[in-house]
Amino acid sequence: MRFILTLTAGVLLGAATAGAAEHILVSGGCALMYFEKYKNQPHDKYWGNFIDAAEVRARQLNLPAGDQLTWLVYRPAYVNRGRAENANLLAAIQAKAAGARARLFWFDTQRELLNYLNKGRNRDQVKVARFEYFGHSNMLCLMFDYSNALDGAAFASSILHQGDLKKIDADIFTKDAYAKSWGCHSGESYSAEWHRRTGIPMIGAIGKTDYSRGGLPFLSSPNGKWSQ
Amino acid sequence: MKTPRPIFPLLLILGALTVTAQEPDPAAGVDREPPAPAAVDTPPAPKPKPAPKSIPRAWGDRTGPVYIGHRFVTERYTEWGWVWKEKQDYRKGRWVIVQETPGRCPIPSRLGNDLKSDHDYEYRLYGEFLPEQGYDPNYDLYVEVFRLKGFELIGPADPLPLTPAANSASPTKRRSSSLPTRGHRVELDY
Repeated sequence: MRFILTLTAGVLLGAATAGAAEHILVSGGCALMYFEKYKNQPHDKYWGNFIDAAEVRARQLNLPAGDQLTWLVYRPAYVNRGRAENANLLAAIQAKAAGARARLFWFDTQRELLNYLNKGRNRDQVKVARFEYFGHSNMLCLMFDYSNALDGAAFASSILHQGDLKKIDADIFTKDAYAKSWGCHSGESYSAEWHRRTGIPMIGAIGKTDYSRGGLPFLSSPNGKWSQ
Repeated sequence: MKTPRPIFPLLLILGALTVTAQEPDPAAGVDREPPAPAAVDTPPAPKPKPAPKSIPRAWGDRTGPVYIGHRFVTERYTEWGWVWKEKQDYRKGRWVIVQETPGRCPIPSRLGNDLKSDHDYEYRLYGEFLPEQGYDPNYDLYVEVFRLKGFELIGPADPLPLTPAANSASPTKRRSSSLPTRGHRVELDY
């Protein structure tokens, strides 16, 4: 009898898990004012641009029952910025994640991010239904770091170049998965390469996006638009 | 009774000042006739380089292997310049991003508060090349990284006949015609 109950519970749990999907938000890191204050147009005067935008998005999402919301944040940038501002930014981010009811995971490198995407869950059972990125980018690359470890640049392990997209297993996504980069210029090349590599369309900006008003970024180029 | 002071010299001085004020400002020559061309066989002497402001002669930890660094300032390049080992030929110079550590050892010109003030200056650099490359988003380049821990100012130097980024690679192997080629700017901003 105990065996039958256990088996039944297992089957029910398995069925529930098999139907669940994971929604992933990714926040890249902020620059250091130590570097940015010398630039004509300094980035990231506020450390939390990419955090607040993701938090707003997390609160907007109305996920189907059983689906899970995961928030991946590039940690080193917030450690360094927190050190510069004498503030515990990691704790602040943890509090925001808890408020948005998102499971928070830190990542320090591209490899850790890819490892989570591909193997962070049993992808036979829990597919990725959503991928949204908040952070620095150019048309070819998502930059989790910019002007933090290196002035005006990033270490190669801190970016996800479109040439690296082949490292994402294409079968981790649901068939109708949603993907969007809220960074600048992704719609000019990155989105197409993402689609080609994963089979999932990605919405990206043609032109720049601006986080400076708080919340979700808006298109800031004169002829800017969202494109797949 | 006081003798009245002669006013003639005063008028002369005022006249001279007026004439001087009416002369055109040579620096504001946008609507003036172009100057007569200089003799072609007497090119103007190059202007002496101003010394970088407030860059200290030496800074930071100056122990360990010595490298020579030639600063090269280009528009929007993230890279610092070329670096080679002290006893090597400059042609071994590697185009690098310099990693500076806030509070420890910044690049020299940051100490002078003008990042572009030391173009074509050379330094003895102390530090190391890192195993990991950096990414320059302006030009879509992977570039070697030199972690700086100290330096000594050598002074101005002749320009090097080297091409920026010659030893750097673009990760974008396949390009459509709409993609930038190496050396072309890729917009970056958020």
